Amino acid sequence: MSRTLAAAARVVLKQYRFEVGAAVLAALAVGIWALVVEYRLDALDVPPGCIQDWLWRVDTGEDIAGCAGPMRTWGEILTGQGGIILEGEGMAPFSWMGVLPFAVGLLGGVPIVARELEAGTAQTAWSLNGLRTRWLLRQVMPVAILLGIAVAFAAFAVEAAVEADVAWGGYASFHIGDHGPLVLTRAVGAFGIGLLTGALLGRTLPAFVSGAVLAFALVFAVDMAHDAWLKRLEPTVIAEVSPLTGEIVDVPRTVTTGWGVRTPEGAMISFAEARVIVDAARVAAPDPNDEQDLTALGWLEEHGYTLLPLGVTDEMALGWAPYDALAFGLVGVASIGGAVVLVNRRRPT
Amino acid sequence: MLAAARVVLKQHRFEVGAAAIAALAVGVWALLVGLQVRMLGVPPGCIEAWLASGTDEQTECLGLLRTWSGIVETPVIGVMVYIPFATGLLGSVPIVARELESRTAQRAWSLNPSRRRWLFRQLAPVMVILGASLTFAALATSLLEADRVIVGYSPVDDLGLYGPLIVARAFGAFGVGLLVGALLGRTLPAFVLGVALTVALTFVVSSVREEWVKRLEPAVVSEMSAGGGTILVPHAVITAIAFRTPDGQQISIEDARAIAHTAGAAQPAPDDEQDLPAAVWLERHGYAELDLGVTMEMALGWAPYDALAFVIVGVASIAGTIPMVNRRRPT
Amino acid sequence: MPEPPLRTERFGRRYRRSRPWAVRDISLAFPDGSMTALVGPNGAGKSTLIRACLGFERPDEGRILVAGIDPQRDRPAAVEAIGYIPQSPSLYRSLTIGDHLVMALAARRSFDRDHALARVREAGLSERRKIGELSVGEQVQVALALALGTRAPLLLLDEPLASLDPLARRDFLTALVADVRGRGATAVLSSHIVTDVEQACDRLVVLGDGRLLLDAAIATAKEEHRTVPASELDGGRGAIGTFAGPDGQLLALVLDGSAGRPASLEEIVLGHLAAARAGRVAQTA
Repeated sequence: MSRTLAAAARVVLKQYRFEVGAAVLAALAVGIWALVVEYRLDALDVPPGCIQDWLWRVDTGEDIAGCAGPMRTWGEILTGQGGIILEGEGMAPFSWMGVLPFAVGLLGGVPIVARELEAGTAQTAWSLNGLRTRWLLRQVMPVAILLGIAVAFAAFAVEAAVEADVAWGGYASFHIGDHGPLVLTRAVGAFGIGLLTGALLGRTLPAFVSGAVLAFALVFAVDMAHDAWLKRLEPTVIAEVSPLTGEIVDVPRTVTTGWGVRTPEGAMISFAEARVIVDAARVAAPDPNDEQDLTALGWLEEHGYTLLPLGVTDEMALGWAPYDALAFGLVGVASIGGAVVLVNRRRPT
Repeated sequence: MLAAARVVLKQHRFEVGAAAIAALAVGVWALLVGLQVRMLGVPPGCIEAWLASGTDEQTECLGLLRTWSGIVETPVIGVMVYIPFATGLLGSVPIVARELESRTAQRAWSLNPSRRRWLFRQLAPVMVILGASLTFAALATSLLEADRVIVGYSPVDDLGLYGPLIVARAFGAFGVGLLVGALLGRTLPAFVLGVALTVALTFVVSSVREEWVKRLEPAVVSEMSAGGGTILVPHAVITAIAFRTPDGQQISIEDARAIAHTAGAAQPAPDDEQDLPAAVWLERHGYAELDLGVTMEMALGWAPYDALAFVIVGVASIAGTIPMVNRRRPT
Repeated sequence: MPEPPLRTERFGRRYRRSRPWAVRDISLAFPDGSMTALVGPNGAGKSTLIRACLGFERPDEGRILVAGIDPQRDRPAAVEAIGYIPQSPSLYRSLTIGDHLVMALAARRSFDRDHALARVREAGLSERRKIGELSVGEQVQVALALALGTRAPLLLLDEPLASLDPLARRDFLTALVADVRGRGATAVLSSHIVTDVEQACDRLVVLGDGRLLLDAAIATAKEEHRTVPASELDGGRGAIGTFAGPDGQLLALVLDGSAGRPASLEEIVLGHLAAARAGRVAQTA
């Protein structure tokens, strides 16, 4: 029986060899690229402590014990080669790791039902298989397993680049969804969407396009929910005086969620409260077109008020990760469930 | 003929509809952004006065212009990275690929003695609809770009994302999609391959552009010294770095570094591509760092070549599709 | 009384409320072990009836029972009891014949791969061949192999002979009959080539205009029906229907045992179809 199932799985992969092949290749390419970035960074053999020292002294241009050269190169590798997979390039707002799970998920999910309907083979498949749900799961499993492995490879290969970016001063919470298990949950979400649109539309290309639009909308919605969640966290002042320069600088590894104002007496007030003070004292009416109210900011600075960033630590911001996984995971599961219902109801063309 | 054209559009209604809607939506979005800018009511002469003042004093004008800048910092231009290619591919891939995939090619090619004429009758209505939609988007983004340039955005950076180049790029993608559709005979794989090929094409064109810009005769466009920086040519495209000696002579960066090391600056670490010791020595000894480059107008001279590249690819791909359609066995 | 392998009770289906019924008021019982020819012109409702047995069409009236199972209530069980050949072969062009056998085996534990493979080889095909390289006739042979391999008690074959040459039709029917008779299965074979199915089948169902026109054993039908020149009838009275003979002469199908000559199966079908058409024309008029 297991030999039969394995043979059947091979036939399924053969059916979808182009899409599965392209998706696997894309994931492998990104993963290998990430490993090359990791290799290049490791090969620099940056002395310990360089990173922290470098982040503080980069503006002064001083060379600290042989750190400068390696650190500059390190940064160039991260922002160049590493940046492509994590941050996008030029005008393109999407990084490779931002796009990969969705491209892989859609490529894998769309043709499973859509192609059967489009090619008119659904009646053969559904006349041989009494239980269409079982047929669907047998089609899904080999594809999902293979793509899952490929995406997992990319997701974990990029960990080193993310760690390096965080060490360089980046934010771990900015990389939610770019690495690790969350890449897989995003791929599950996209896979489910592709499966559902394929079952609904019964044509591969329209289903792929619709799936891409829906996946994009989902990402947008999750991002908005993320922003709202961040704003609900209890913020603290995330600025401090630099021991080197004496200026107020952001505390490393914090995420800004708002702004507060410190009065000359040392009390912390909200920006809205500060604006009330400005409005009460101001001679000229505020400029309605000046959205940042630069005039108000200027008045506050002149009168000894200090604008300070409020926010949360990177660790707190990382608390979004489970919700991110939940969102995409739920959408994926719900979509797959919807596809099961659709497959059971559809008339095979 | 019109009835036949309507039938063709009905055949591909999803793809043509989605592509046209995307292009129109972006165009409308661009126009809305422009409308927002118009509604600011920036007084006449405000911009010139601000540019002439050369300061960042808190003026009413500055506030308006900052708002203007915020409005035109819109994702519309970013989205135009994708729209022409998506539109072109969506419109063209199914034309031959779907006939083969759904096995209607034998019907189509048995009714039409000339497959070439059949192909053009399929292409024409789709190209007219998509061409019109993209032309609208091109015009709308041109207006938006004009608003962006006023507040300092570089049209060179945005090249290919507004104006007629959008239509040229879409045409290139259209040809690529038609060809891979005829080659593979399946819509989704052809679309995926078409995306990969257009990405590669864009990369190649960008690389050629960089080389082309580097070959232009550079001039000094900005200067950096211990006293600060001066922009001599706004919106210039920087292509190289040089130095000016304390006695006013312009030398290359290699010569400047050699001078620094000869005079005692430490040798850089093997991975120090920017040669920090030399840079510090040069700054301390009165050498000014010069950015060499070309003016915006010179850099924009690439635009016709950009258009030509994509149009040539489009024409060649469509031409390549014809023999393929003529030779294919209809499934 | 044991449940027949296939029974329909006033089965009716139409695709849209504004459209005419594709089939209506079809009540049939297919005896166990029978081979039934389901005959009728294009659009008569043959495919609709067959597809409804698999749950591919939903009845708008009445119901269908496959071995006592309503496909609308328990489709998996109904499908498991059926081996099916669709109107077009519906095979995967990029896969080989062997791949299809693997798929069938994974789909049904009872699938007899060896039997199916033997049928493939009898048809002169190799399991390594890709479907896309086969002619339509060869694809039909593969589809038959898959259907026979299911060893299902009920075989539903939707116009499988249309793409086959005469020799291939004969081979197809020989294989089908041997399999069905050999294991006592029941088969329903829809076709509009009446002379072919006459050899293989023992029952005849004629559909026309979406209605049931005739349901009888072939032997009985041939005993009861006779053909006479229409000119010999008084104004066509007593005729089931009139139709043109091969030489153009107008013939009438009658039930009068003494008149004319025994009707051929084709004439029986034509006569009943003519009657249905006349009824439609009368309605239109």
